[in-house]
This record gives sequence, C-alpha cells and structure tokens, in this order.
Amino acid sequence: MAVVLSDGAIEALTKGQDVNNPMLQLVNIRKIDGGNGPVRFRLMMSDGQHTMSSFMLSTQLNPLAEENQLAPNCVCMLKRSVTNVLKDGRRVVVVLDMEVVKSAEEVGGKIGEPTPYVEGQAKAPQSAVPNPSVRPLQPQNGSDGMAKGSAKPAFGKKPLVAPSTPGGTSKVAPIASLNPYQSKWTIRARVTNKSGIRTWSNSRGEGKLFSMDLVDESGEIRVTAFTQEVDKFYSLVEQGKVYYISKGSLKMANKQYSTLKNDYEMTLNGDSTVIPCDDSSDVPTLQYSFVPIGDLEAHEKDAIVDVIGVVKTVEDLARITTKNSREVSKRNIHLMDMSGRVISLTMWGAEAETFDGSGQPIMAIKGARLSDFGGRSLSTLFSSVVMMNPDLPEAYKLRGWYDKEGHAMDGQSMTELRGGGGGGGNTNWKTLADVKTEHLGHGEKPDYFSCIGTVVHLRKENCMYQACPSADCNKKVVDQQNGMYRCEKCDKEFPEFKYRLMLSANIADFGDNQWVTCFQDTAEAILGQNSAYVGQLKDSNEAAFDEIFQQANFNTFVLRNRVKLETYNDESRIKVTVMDAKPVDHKEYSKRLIMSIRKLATQ
Amino acid sequence: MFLPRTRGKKTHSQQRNMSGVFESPKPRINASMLSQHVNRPVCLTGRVEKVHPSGKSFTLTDGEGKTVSVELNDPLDEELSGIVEVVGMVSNKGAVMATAYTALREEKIPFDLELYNEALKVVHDFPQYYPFQ
Repeated sequence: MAVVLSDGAIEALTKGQDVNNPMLQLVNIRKIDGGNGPVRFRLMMSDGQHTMSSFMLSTQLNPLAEENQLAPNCVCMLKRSVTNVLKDGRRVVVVLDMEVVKSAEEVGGKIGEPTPYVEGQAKAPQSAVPNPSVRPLQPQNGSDGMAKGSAKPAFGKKPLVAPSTPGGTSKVAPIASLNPYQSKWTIRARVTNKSGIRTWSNSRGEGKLFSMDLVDESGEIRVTAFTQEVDKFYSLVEQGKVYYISKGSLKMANKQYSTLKNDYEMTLNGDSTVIPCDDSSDVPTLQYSFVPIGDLEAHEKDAIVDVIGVVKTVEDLARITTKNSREVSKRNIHLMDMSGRVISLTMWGAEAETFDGSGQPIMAIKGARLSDFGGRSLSTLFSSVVMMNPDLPEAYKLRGWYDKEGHAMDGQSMTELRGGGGGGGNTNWKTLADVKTEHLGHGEKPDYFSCIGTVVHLRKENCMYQACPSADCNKKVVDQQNGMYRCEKCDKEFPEFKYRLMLSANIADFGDNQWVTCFQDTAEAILGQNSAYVGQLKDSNEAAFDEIFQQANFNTFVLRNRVKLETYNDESRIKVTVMDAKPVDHKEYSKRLIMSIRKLATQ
Repeated sequence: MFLPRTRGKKTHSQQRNMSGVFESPKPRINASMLSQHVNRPVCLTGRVEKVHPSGKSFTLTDGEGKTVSVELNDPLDEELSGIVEVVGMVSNKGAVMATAYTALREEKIPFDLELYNEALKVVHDFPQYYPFQ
C-alpha cells in the first residue's frame, strides 16, 4: 500500500491550526540531552512538500525513539500535537501522540523533495498556486515509490480545520499534557496540599515562597509561587478547592523536593492567573492509599507512604540544629492503628509547634517518609499533607475501634525507644560493664559507644610527645641532639617542635572501669588545659604540671569512644580511644536515666 | 548540730521540732503526696510564689504546678524568691511547718522543676530501690 503524506500539514501545524491526523515522514531524529532532565528527541518531519525540524517528541513517547521504531524515512501518523510559540517567535510542535504507520525499511527512502519550511514564504505560493507541487514523480528505491501528486487531494486543498481554540483559554488542558514548550493553556485542578509561606535570605537577596499540589483526572503537579505571586495568590488558594490556572512556567521537576508523579513542575509568574472554579465535583480529590502501621516493616527505607492512625501520645517540642546550623523545631508523635502497632512520626517546623494532639485525634498523613531510624519511624516532608480527623471512612472505622478496644492496648512500637537526647539521637549508650559483656570491638569493624565516665587516674608518664611543627603533620620528631628536630614524614629538620598529648586515662562508672586513650583535643578537654601550656609546665614547673593532673581527677564527662580489638605480638587487647569528651549535661542525663528506668520497669 | 554547707546553698534553720526533723528521714515529696505524709517530716522543693506580708508563711508551686503553703516559726529576715527547698513536718491541713529552708541558686543552670518531679516519682514508684524511709 502506498503511503500518502499530508501535503501542507507542516505549514498548518506551524501556524497552530488543527490538522486531522496528518501523515508525515521522519527525515531526521536527534537526541537532546536535557541536562538533569530526561532525554528528549527532536524530529525533522516532512509532509513531502516541506520539512520542519522543530518537532519535539514528548517524553512519554521516548520509547518509540529508544526502541528504534522512529528511524529516518519511516512514515508516522501524528495523532495529537500542540504548537507552541517560543518567546523569540519560533514555533515548536510538541508531539503528544504518534504512531509509526510504515517502518523505515518498508518506506525505503525519502518521499518527494521537500524543502525547509520558512514561515511567510510558503504562504504566497500556496495561495497563488493551488497545486504547488509540480515536482515530477520521484521514483523511489523501495517497492512503493509513491505519487507525490496524489497526496494533495487527500489533504492539501482541504480547508484546514477551523482554529477552534488557538488561544486555548477556553479549552481545559489535562495536567499530564503540560510541558515547557507550550505556553497557552488552562488547567482545572484541585489543590490537594498547600504549604505555608517560607522565607529565605541569602547573598542574592531575600524572598518568600509557597507551593501547592494540584491534581486532576490526568495527573498531578507541584506549583510554586514566589514573592509577588505569594502576595497575589496565597490568600486566594484554599486546600481542597478547585481552580482554573493558566500561564504558569514549566520546568523540570526537582525530584529531591517533590514526589509527585510528574516530570515537570510549575512556577507562577506575573502573567499567571488563578481563578476559583465552583463546579468541581468531577475533579478528583486527594487519594490516600493507607499502609497499615504493622506492614511498614515490609517497605523500603525512604519509601513515601500514606498512614492513618490515632495520636496515642505526643512528645514535647524539641529544638534541634541542622547540619547547616539552622535551628528547627521538631515533635515526635506516636501513632497507632488497628494493627495494634505504634510508630513514631516526626513533624517539623511550624506544624510541630502548633500541633495539638489533645483528645487523641485521628491523623492521616499523605506522603510521609519512612525511615529505618530506630527500627521504623516516619517523618513528614514539606510535601506531606496532614489531616486531623479527616472525613474518611477509614478514619471513622479507626475511631470506633480505638474507642472500643484500641485505647486499652499498649501497642507494640515499631520505633525503638532511643536513649534520649544528648549527642544526637542515635547515640549508642553503654555502661562500661556493657562494653565488656557485649564484647564490643571484637567484630571486623570498630564499635562506637558513648558513656558517662569519671576520670579516676591519669598516666602522667609519656603523656606528651614532641611533634613536627608543620601545620598538618603531627608526626613524632627525632631529637638530633644538636638543637634540631627531624620529622621523617616531612623529611625536614626544624629548630623547634610542638607538644602533643597522648593521654592514657582510667575512667570509671558505677559498675566498671576502663583504660582509654585520649589524643590532643580530647586530652585537652579532660585536662582542661591546652597542650602547649602543659608541655611548658612539664619542662619548667613540675609541681604545676602535677597539679593539672590532680585537678583533672574525678571529673565526669560524656565520652564518645571507639573500641577495637587490636593485636600486638600475638597478644590481643581491647583498645578504647576517646573520640569526643564533653561536660555532662545533667538535665539530659537525668532525662535519659528516668526514661531508662521507666523502660526497664515495663519489661 | 552539723549542717553540711554546700556551695551555692544558704540554709536557714527555724527553731521547731529541730531534733526530730533533722534526725529522721525526710522523704522528698511533691504537693500531691502531702496527704500521705501528715505529721511526718518531709523535704519539698518548689518555686516561691507568694510571701505573706507577715513574713511568716509563703507558697511554693511544685513541678506539677500545684501549690503548697509553707509556714515558718520566725518571720523571714530576707527576701525569698526562686527555687526553695523546705524541710519540715506536714500539718493536718497539708501545710509544711518548716524547720529549715534553703534557696537554690539558678545562676548557671536553671532548675528544672518538672524534671525534678519526674525523678521524685521514680523514687516513690520503686521504693524497693530507694529504701530511704
């Protein structure tokens, strides 16, 4: 069967007119690496008369190209496309749906002698000459050398389908069809989540933003508004309501911040409009797929899950400092569901501060992150949607269950009770007796533990050594006995050295004691003096030097230690090195002890 | 009578039942435990709320926010505020007839009354491990 190309379709498409399923031949295909986004394909298509290279394959059609179905010369039926005008006036046809009608092998070669389409130019000949294709029949290499002329009656002269919605404002586009190459559209979508206003301030200035998640029957998308648009739209937008939104800017979604199923995200700009829509019953609402708390163990770490539970207990608000030294509030909430299991959920920021768990409400969380921190725990994200006592059948069922029997249950926790605050959440608190009975350090890798330890003895002998004075070298130097000190590592001789500490200390708690090694910083913390001063006294004033060691005895510290079995000359012994020595925070320590006592009592 | 003088503490003794109170154990309690300790010596720590104009009584709030009234034999000869530890007998009305009081300084670390109360409860919940009475 001969394939007939839709003569004139290129021009029509370029002008944004509707063309009914035009047949086009692929001339060339080019892969565009979109940086961090998915690969995109740019196509040069021919209608036998003109070629145009500004066809973009929408990403959902990428498999067509990746599976090599789209090879040059194949003939395709363009089922759905959108023409966009870029800012500089260039036009891009985004191919939304396309079918390969005849493969490249079957077609065998180029059909006709198309010329590149130049806007404005083609117009004149087409209107002047009703039958512009006066080229002779091109015999093709393939079996179906096709008649160029026959293509025209099929399409060329037919009045193009009326441009029903060239502007697109009246027609509602599905969210799934949005892409950066298209600027004129209106979507009708429900706001499933609206964030609070966040502000930022950095070297480039300051500003604020809020974001919302939209959903319609075709998909979902994250929308962000900045500074001016925050003022314009923040108060207008209500969670759960439906809006017409148009003229947002689209860009690749940053998956780090959004878990929505959309390759793009939208930013509202000065041209954007957001209009409430009253008739909204057909727009889907937020869909939850709740995972029973007892089943969370089976999910991968970092999975995004929906959970519904009764707020069983609420912990006090805590302030923590993040890695980039920002202080944030957090609050742990313990949720229980009909599986009889309890999980700890951490909420952050303003949501944590204002959280009200009184009356043991039902709490539904859309898109919480599952962590393997302390067994299994949950954390809300910026994108999470939290609903208290939601109007959902699951919520009523849970309420009934909890009031009848659940409240009497203790609930087995999925989250291990942590040893309380003090030096981060996952501190491995041990007593010195635990370290021995649990054989810490006997494994392949060193073990780390923290303890409360009191210095009961310090070994003064050899607690200091003469080290290389170079900034980053702490190697021991050799006294050349001529006023010079040699560092083997730096292969240099120096007229001076610096003193460094390597202190052996015996520390004790209520149950046991342990020899530990403290290097420079931790030794300085334990002695309460800097090494240069200690070294100076060692050489000049032995009484004062001794006094430092006397004063350091019986002080108590929070010690973080590394423990490893080390073997010298066939003899193995446990070596404990202090990584960090801090004064005891008695409040934290008391809290941890009380918590441990209460926990022991329930066992 | 020997009274240990610890750093940061200033103890004032009042002349009432001195021998009896000092020589017997004085369990640490909070306001809600007063009724179980009537006519017994106790130790109660709280924050000073109101001092009576006569200087002969004041009120303390404990870590649970409950109020206790403390009565003195002799009027106060100083201004009293902040965290105070009182040793004395519990009257029939549930007031503490103070034998001695000590103001605890809070210059470096604020006294956490709630935390103190939690520790108190542990002591009372597990008397087998805290046989002080």
